[in-house]
Amino acid sequence: MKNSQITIPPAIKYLVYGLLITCFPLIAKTQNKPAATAGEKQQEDVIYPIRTVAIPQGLMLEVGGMALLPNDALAVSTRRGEVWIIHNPYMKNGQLPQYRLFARGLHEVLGLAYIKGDLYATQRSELTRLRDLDGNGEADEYETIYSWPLSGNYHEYSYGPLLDKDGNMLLALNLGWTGKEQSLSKWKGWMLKLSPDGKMHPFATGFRSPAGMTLNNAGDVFYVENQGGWVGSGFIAHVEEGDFHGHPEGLRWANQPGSPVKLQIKDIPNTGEPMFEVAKRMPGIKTPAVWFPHTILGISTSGVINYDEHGKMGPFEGQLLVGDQGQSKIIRVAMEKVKGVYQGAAFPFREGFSSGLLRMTWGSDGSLFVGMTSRGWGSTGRQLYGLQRLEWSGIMPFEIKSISARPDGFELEFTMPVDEVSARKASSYELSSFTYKYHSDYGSPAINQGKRSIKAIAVSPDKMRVRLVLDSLKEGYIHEVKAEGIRAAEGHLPLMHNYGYYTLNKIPDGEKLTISAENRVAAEHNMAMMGHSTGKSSGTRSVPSAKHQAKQPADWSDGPDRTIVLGTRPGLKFDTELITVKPGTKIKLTFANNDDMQHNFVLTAPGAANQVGEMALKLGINGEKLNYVPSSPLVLFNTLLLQPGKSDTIYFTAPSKRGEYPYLCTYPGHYMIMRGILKVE
Amino acid sequence: MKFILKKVPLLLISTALSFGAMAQSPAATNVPLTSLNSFRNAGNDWKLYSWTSMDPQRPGKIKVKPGTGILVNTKNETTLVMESQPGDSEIEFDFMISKNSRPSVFVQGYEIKLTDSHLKQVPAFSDMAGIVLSAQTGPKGFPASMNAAKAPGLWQHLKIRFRAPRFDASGAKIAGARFEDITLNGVLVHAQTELPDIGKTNAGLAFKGEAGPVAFRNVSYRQLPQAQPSPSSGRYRPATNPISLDPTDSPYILRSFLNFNSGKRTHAVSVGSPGGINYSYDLKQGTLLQVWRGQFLNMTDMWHERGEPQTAKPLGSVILLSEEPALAVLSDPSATWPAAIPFDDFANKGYSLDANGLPTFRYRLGTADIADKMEPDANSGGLRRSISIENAPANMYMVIARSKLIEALGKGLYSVNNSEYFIRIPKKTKPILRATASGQELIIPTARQSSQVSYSIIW
Repeated sequence: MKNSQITIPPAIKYLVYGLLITCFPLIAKTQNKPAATAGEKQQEDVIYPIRTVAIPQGLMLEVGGMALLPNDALAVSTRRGEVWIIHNPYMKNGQLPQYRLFARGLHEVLGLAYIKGDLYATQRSELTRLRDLDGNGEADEYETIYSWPLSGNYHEYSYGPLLDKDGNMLLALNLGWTGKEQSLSKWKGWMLKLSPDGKMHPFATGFRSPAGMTLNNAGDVFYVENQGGWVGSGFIAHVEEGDFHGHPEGLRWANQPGSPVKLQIKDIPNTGEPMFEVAKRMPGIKTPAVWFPHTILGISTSGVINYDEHGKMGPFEGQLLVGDQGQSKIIRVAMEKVKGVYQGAAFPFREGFSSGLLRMTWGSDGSLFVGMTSRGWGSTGRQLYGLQRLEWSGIMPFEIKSISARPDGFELEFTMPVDEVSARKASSYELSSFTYKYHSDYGSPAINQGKRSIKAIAVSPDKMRVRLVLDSLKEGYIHEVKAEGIRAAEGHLPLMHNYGYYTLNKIPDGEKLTISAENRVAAEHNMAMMGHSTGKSSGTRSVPSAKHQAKQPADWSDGPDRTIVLGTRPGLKFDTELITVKPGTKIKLTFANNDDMQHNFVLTAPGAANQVGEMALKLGINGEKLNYVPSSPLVLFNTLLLQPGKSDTIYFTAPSKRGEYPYLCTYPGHYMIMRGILKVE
Repeated sequence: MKFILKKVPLLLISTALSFGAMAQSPAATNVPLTSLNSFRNAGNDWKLYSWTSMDPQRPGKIKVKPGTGILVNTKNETTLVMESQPGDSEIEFDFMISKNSRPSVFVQGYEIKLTDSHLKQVPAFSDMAGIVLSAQTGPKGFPASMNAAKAPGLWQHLKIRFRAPRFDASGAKIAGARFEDITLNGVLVHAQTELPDIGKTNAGLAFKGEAGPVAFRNVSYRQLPQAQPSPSSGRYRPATNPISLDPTDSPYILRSFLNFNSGKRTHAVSVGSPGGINYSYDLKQGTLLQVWRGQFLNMTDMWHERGEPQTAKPLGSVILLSEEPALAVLSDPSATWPAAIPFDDFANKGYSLDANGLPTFRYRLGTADIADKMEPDANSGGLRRSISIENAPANMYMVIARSKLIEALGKGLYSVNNSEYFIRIPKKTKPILRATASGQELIIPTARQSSQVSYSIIW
């Protein structure tokens, strides 16, 4: 049934959208919340409502995989090893969904697919085909299709299968974690291809945590990656046979029979140069198609889905939607191929899901099922697990639909005609470029930041496109494109999301825009912009020393009154959540990060934890350099941002005023959960 | 490495604390069973032997060999009281009961039953390891928290930590008696059980026979250290709510990592039946790893937070079996059994469920296709294993048991590891009991082509 959806020819489609835009105030009245009035920003929850699918009490639906079945039921696999079949997950006519247990006892199923009449589940150690032979609605054949070794490390997660266009199944295997990523057993950090005859072919490596895979409309394979060692920030990459995607650990197995990868671990320099620079001189390193700047477009990339003919999510067909577990949100990726290489831009799309978003699948009505779990990791959506469904209201969102590269700049395409006056103003835009370090450290600060100035602006006759000619383009760099000043022609709407990040792998050839009196940007603007430019930055972290006193103050002749050693516990927790001291206590505090992600310790004024956490989040791409410590009087003392396994000691005097002083980790995504109280009494 | 070093200070603290407690713990006193001199009223019902065997299914059937070291009562209802009276004490002993026996052990007058009740899913206070109270009012007793009993005819182990009542100078009681804990076959079955007053007694440790034979050996006791006050300076952390898993209406087949002897098994499966007969199996070796009865699994280390160990823990008293592969081709019947099958030589095919939800595991080893099925046997409380092999190569053998000591008791019954568990083989099957570097192995040659092998494990 789901394949019988009628494809509307583009021309008619735009006509429909045109009608929708015209009817905008009318439609808006039917929504729960009032829609934007003229000049007011559209709200995500109006354009894209989230529906929560009811889950029976006591059922821990920690979603690891999802697949829609031909009878429009949703199969969901869980981290506790169950496979549930949910009928009426749409809750049509207000009726509750019905759950039936199909299989159980599997080992943390993080991938589920319905392929040619069968359900396939990826457990930690194998791909399993589940069949119900006696027709009683429960699986009674758990057949091992392919099995791989494991070291016993918890971080060796397994994902898939993805059916490729030739009928092969692709699996992806996570690296282990021992204080750093390691490939502790064969094929960890690899993607494996199972051909229809059942043979396994090692396909590509360099993966760190390849939690999501998809095909795009061309049938090319993409995967999404998580920030960590050798991965400066999350990204999406195009995977082809023999690729190496950046994390050297998988190369441990490159010499095994059947491996199509020739690189060796020693070939990969740990210099902290940008990845594209290293890739230039070391053939075989594949750089991401699109980077997702850390904390702005997610902190833990998880699932990915192609907006193909099954979806109905507004004007973004052919783009990819990428989920983020830590920030409980979906971002949108619009790619193009330039000189044979995928590249493109990522944009915010929808936030506010209830738990850690891991999986997405299309419903038969074109809505998007979102399966979630946050156990052990924490997420902005505070629920431990959840199942929700994203709908499109039919209201046209005003968005930057895509960004494409031009020989001399970029072209922005919008979802609605833009107001020409705003589009022609250079001050409506702000462009800059930066990149990340490629090194074994966990993550990376944004480096080599520089402002780009606009030399010319041309608006297309239909007002759907704006071409920006820049002073220069930085090949290999991420280009931040902000368009805060743009307004829609209709209703003078601002953009719902006014920025995107374009990864410029290749500068295209072709005709440059002839700069004319009509499109030239006045020089004053560029001068003004240059004035605001921060110029290049080395990427070293700055440390506000008064709040980060790393040496014992000279006047502490008797040393500290109190020595505190603070550690972490898994699941975003400090190992001590209440410390009681007397006013004015001289404190020596050592924060030892024994977790597998970055953390800091920030002591704030009473009641200021949320404010400080939110301020840290807004530091954006500069956050890491600033240790995610906002410059604010609400911050009393802080440690550095610590890599996994590192520690930092600070000296400070407890406030003289009695009260409860929150301490928290301000690393984005952590501040809501990772907290404690310094009680001064 | 730095990551690991960070944890050292915490470890040192906890080690120091536990070391402090251990330092006060005196050495154990072994009760000599070379004579009956340690007991007050030996009479004629209690005898010393060097060896005994009791049939798991026939009440009262006992075999003995002359000598000392094992204390046996074959008559009824007599109590043997020790001369010395341990006060606050940790008492340990092995015991063996006959089918339907109901013996007891007494600690300063408090009775713990050693009833044959291994098939019960939920024990009563009169069952194995239940505490029976003689007080006129109040509860009649406290049942064990779970059934950790083994089959009659096997050696079982009981450890009791007892805190005697306290009296002031005037003889008034200031603190009641308490079982700090009672551990049966390695499973904690009572914790911090406060006991009602049964008056002053001069009874020390005592053993009582009832309704059939009972044997004791390796009896020892030691002074309990002073009770440790609750540490007030330690960090308080709320306990993690444990996550347990139990099959209700059909077998639960659970994939997990499993700690076993030499390390972590990554391709393990555990099967729990609603009747409480459970086992673990290595899907990459075709090995029956362990069996246990009672509750199924503690999943906390898999399902709490990130579940870093990813291990499922059996909840009952576990019998560890062999970890080597079940099948091997031996060049001759004396060749050494291989320790493991290389990963790529063993093609695990998964499992299918029968109408009762019981799995048959399938794999290919060389040319041989193997189907391996375990079925609970409600009569014996054990497990019956059937392996069928197609296209078997020549000289393929199956190992049934491996241990320091395997004793043939006749009629296909074998006692393994000094009566830790029994193996029963159909009479028509001709096994080979052979010596190995570390003990003995019971193996069965398989027929070429098509072969069926079955046996039962009783514990």
